[in-house]
Amino acid sequence: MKKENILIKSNIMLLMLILALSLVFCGLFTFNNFAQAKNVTLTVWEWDMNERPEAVKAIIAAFEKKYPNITINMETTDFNAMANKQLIAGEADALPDCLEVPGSIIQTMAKRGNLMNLDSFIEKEGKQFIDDFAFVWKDPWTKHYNYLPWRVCPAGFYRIVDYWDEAGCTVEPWTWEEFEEVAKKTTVDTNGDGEVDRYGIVDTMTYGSLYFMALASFGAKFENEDGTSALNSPEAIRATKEVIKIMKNYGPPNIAVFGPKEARDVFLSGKAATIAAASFMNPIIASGIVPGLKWKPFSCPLDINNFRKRTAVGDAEVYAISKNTKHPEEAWEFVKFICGPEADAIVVKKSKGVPSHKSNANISEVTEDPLIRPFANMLAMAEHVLVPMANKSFPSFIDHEQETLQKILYGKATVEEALNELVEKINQDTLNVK
Amino acid sequence: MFTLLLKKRRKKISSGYLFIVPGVAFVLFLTIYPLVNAIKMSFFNLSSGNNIFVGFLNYQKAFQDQTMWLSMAHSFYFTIFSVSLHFLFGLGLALLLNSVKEYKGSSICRGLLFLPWLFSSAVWCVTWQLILHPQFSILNEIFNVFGLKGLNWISADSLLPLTSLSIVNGWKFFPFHMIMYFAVLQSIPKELYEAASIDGASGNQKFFYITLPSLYHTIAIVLTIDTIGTFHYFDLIWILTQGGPMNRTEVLSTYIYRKVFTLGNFGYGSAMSVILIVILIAFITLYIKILLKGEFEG
Repeated sequence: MKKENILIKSNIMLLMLILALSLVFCGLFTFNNFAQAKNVTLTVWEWDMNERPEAVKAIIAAFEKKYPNITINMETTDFNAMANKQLIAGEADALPDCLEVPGSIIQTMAKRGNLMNLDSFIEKEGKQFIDDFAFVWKDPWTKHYNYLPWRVCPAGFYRIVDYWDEAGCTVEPWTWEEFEEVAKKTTVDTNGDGEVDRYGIVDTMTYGSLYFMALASFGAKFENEDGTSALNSPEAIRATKEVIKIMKNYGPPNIAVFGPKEARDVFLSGKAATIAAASFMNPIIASGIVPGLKWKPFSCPLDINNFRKRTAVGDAEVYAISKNTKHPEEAWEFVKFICGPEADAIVVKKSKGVPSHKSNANISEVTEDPLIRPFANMLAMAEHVLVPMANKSFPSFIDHEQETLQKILYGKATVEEALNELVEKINQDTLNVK
Repeated sequence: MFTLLLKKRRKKISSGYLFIVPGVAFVLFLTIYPLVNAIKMSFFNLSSGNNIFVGFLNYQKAFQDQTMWLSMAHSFYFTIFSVSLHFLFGLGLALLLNSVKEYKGSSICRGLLFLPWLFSSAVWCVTWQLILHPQFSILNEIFNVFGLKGLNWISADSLLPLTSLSIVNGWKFFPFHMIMYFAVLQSIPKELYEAASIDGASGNQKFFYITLPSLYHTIAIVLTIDTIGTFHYFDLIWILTQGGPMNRTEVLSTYIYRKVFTLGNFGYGSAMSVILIVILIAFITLYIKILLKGEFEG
């Protein structure tokens, strides 16, 4: 009996020892984990375009120098594949810590709850932090800051100076009437065979800069107060009529089916005197245009009836944090940095981007560079910046925009009819109302 | 003795099952899981953060969607036109190659004719983009050389864009038919043709009574595979026209893609995918039944 008692006691002791040792090891393990948590690797998804890699490299180097405990693992994907990749990863809860979200899916990602609410972080930074952005917005579905703009891309025009000079157009137009006059003069038959072979204007029919500029300039809104589409308002109708008139009379014959590639092909090959495009086109034109042709950007024209409100269109790439990140604090430090003024200045210097911070509007790289200045001025002078992607109806708009403009250009519907149909489709897609 | 044999046999069978388990599991994972998941997703509204069960609402919406019906009609047109081209060119060229197979250089011709099928989709799409470009069409330039007026191959407000795409698809995939038929043609015994010649059969009679019956099963299988592939064909259409102008080239696969990846509407997209699968199953069943009618009756 005594022997048995000793055996039981020793077994209990042994068990307790094992338990104690396990606890110690667990504690050590946890402690180690905690110690390791200080050194964090963040996975970030971005896309690779134009002159960006150099700027991104410089930004990461500056960030890692400032935060030596955070390492950035940048995963780069082709721009065209990025939206699909993010939508699918979002569905599978497999998003990285931070991600650069394409404009076309920002809202979808926020609405589906894939992106972290940044309100508390932003609040801690103070009012000055948010006020320094040229424009920033809360997601229309979640009513929170779910992302911050990184590279802003205002829409404007690029012109071939030689063609404009040939046509006697030496002054850049201020109004749509003046712009139309230039488009008319630069639409020419160069070989005298009776057919126009150089066009006054070219643009893409999806995500069209010309259309965005006209909507902004004529004071059209994307949405009414109740959230329904306002794209059949009198202002939108005027803007659409102006765009159709310009495209029909001074654009290439098949402009109705032009995507970004077709529009670029026409301009870069010297077949059009002017292209409507956002500021990210600077490096594309620099490397792709017919050698020897001089070119430069200029600002969006004004509506003569609305002269005081100088409006501009803003588009932006944004950075966000995945809701599933295990390192929210570190991820915020990264997003704050890459979207902050220091990284913004690097973007301006290294990739000829337009500053997204007011504090960078007057740095010499902006004020002295003719490729950045028109866009930066437009943004600085704007009383109202139309940001299409800040509207709930934006994804549906880009889905139906081309079809709507095509219907008008092919004579299948009047402007009013086509816009009413567009509004009906958007309301159905966005709000599920007929 | 008998029970011992039975036991041995059972053991053999069960170990056989064990061997095929990984393969079956792999196939089930790759085919059944996505299908079941797509069916499940079609009953949910996945466009917002909360996945809400909506029953048959996505299906109801799809059946009321006029663009979906238009896309379906286009899918049928595209499939029938393209598959007909694949079949006619494939069979014609296979017969031609078979008749000249003893000549020098015939194997080079065979290789050249097989080339379109070997092209990578990306290269092929970009090439045809240039040939049919709305502004710089190479084809129109050739037309101009001969004094003919160019056409709006992919930008006309008519059936021409969809027809152009079908022809391009026809050019790409006819070699698959050609090579399959050519392989069968080579295995038809010469004696059959010789006997037919002695009996005084004409060329046409030889084709309809010897060649075609020999090819019948291959044609049925190739047409079935090709119809399935062409019905949900996507890349060329998306790259060249994205379904435009004015939905003139919108087929079911491009429409589903737009709904899922532009509007993020996974539930609605899944419902349309399920409808597409059901249509394909019905279509193929009917197809096989018609093609193998003689076989069933036999």
